[in-house]
Amino acid sequence: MIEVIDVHKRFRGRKVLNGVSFTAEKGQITCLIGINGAGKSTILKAIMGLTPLKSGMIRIDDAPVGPAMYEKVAFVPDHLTTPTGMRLSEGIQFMKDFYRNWNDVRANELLAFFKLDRTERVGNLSKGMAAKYSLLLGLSQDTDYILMDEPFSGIDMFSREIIAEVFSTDLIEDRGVLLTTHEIDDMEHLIDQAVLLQNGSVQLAFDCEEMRTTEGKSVIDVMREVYTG
Amino acid sequence: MKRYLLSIVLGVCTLGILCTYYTYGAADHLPEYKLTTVQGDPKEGADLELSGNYDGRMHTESLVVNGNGSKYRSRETLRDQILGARSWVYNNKEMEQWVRDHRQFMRGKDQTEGFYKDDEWLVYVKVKSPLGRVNQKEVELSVERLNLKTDEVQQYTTQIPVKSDSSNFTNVVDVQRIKDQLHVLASQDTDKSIQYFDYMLNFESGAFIQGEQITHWNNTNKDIEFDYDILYNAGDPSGYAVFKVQENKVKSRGENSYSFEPSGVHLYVYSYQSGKLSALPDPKQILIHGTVYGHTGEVLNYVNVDKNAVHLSRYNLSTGQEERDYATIKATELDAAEILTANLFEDRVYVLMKKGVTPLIAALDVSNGKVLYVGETALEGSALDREKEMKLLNLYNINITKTTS
Amino acid sequence: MNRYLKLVNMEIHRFRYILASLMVVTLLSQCGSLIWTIQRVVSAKEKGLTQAEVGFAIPKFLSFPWAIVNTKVWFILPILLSITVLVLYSMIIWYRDWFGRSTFIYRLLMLPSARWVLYVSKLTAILTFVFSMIAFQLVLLVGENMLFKTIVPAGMRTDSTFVEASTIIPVLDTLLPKQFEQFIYSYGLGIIGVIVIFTAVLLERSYRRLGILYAIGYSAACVGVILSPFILGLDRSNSYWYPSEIYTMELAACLLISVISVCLGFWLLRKKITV
Repeated sequence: MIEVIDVHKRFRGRKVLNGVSFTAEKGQITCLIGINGAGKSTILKAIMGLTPLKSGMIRIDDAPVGPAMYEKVAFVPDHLTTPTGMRLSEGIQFMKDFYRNWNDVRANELLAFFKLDRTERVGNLSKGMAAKYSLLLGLSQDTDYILMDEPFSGIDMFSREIIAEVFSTDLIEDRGVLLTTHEIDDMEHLIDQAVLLQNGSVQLAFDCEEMRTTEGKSVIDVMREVYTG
Repeated sequence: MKRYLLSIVLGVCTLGILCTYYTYGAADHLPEYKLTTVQGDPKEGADLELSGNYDGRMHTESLVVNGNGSKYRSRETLRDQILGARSWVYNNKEMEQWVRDHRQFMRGKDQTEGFYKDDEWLVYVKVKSPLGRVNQKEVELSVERLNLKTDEVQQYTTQIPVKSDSSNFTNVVDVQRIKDQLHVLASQDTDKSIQYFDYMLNFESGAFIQGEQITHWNNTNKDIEFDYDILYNAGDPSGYAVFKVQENKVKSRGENSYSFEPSGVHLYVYSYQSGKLSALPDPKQILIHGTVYGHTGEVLNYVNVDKNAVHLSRYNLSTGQEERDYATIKATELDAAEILTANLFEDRVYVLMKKGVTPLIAALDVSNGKVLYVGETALEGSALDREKEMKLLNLYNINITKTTS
Repeated sequence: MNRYLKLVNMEIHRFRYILASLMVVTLLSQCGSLIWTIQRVVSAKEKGLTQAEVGFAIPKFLSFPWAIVNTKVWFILPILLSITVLVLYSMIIWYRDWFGRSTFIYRLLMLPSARWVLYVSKLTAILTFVFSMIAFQLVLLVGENMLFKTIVPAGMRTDSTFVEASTIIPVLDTLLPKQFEQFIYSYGLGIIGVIVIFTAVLLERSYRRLGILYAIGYSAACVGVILSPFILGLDRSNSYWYPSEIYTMELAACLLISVISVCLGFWLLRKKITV
């Protein structure tokens, strides 16, 4: 379980996160929803120890953030994190060199599935290809959790379909997934838990299935209530 | 392994090349010289150092040679440079000894002239802010004394009156203790001339007793300029100060330069006890190029050097009597072909000589001219290039360095 | 250890083309100008021309150090260029991971090893580049000496030692001190310089706009501390401190700056760095 407990962060005098608390369970897909600038990416970075917090705590399976965690949680940011001069194969080799949990077989499968050319240079990838490559690097680690920042943003329709396809495979199912998005449409049917963020704090967190059965509301209905109503 | 090849090759080559350089390549192959004893007591040569140049390289290499070998300037590291800083203070044999014995007391004290030492006391006197101020009537003297028996330090400051001129610079040039009085000899450097003053202080309290102007030198001849100097007493305190006044005849005066030639030397002795300044018998005739003076206690020695011989003469400061050439040592007696320079230090005369291409140095007893030590500069290692390497070596100066004891 | 070496390898790999270019530029500039200098004099000598006729000094005998001294500018320029590039790269080695289309720093900070390994590996890489250039210059000097001997007829030249050539111009003398102890001082100070730059960069990366002030302030303070023993008056003979004490203080100051800078750098990476 990823626990985010009363997290505060300021950036240039603005309160980016103002007491955010929520949890993301293993085996479930949790989605952080909010408009641009709501602090979604900052939360993911904070979980990964990539930005310091003013106060609050983050715990992963009851342990604080530390180097050992990186074998347990994978992070797929919304941009490339492999030097542009490297070939795809070199980027994969780099991961293989440093992560004990690297699953080379899966990497090869995904390479074929996404139709990526391993001799291509990272810098030459189109936006859609780059997103697939990032996803490949994240998914090929045998981690308990995976964090994804805007996995669908700015990507062409066909690439979205392929990525969405991955979500319904066993590559995702046993893990805890925490992803962010500002456009829910494509993924509403994928999500188990939704966390609605506004002005740096959690407005509402709910179980999508429960919401549908008990109140008959879709995620979009709830969003409309929270953000406009 | 292949993808690490570049780094491995780079690392191994770099390490290998640097190690090779510092094992074999970095040797500068400069010849090693050493001062070796030819005759006499090797202890006499232990404090001696000859300095000069080696001219066998594109850049002149300056070096010193002593009993342990040679030290080239170009081999100095940052540590040598830092530790060798202020060599003009700490290479003085007496200062070096005092620093070793009284490290705390000697901190920040750099004027050798300001010291006085006898069996009981080590005293240091300095002028606070020696830079002159306009129409200053008084300057402040700071006196520190260390009791050598109890290690106690006392300090006092005293105002002394100075001649008020448009501006002046006051410097301590000698310090003597006569019974319960401390005499501070100070020079006042004014626009027109230098004059010397004897200031008497109470040794216990530091209270100012009186000050006397002891010299009244003035110069009316425009074509003659004077150099005033006080000879440092290298021996025990004797109650005498010796002034050397050199007369220079101005040959030409340009806008930014002028040239002169020495035309005479006058010696004066001042007795702290009697407060009298008297001229020593006409020393004009001893003005030979390269005369060296040495004040040691009650004796003023001077040494004249020519190519073939060293002549020792002396004055007894209490009687003013001169003993000219009481000893003469010929180059042949020292087995040398040519005499270059001489130095006086305490009770020794050091003579730098040459025999063929070999620099020699001799130590003589100043009281009787007896030869105590002769050393020669030898090339260490292969004798193959001896002649060539010795020819490239030019040693000019004798340095009396730190005591090795 | 393994991960550290892999990171170093990666950093070397990323810089390999620039390093090679620096070496090639040095090679061409030094050898080219050396050949030109030597040939000019050799041909003048062969034709029996005098200094007045050719307009430059013609020595009786040529030596290799003489040739270096007379090639001066084109000999020194590539060295100065390399130094500049390496100093700049001490900063760029960090910034290149933050800027551009790919932000590699995300990946580096998420490696499952302690983050100080990053710092040390980048430092090792910089030092490897510096020493590679030095080693290359040494080998180049040997080669240039051979070149000199090939061009100048035996009758026109005199022998020289290797060190004479490697210390004849001040830049080389500083980079290749003939005493190993001095080598330690030169490169020790150099390493401290790189460490301070690293820490300053990390300060800026951690606190951004305010961090620029911190970085400038920190660097200035480090320079101040390193120089402070000398400000106490090494050459002023009435200084309270003895030279040996000033030497000890200087060593202590260097040690202090290194330890503080490294610890601060590690701490920033662990706690304050932000992507």
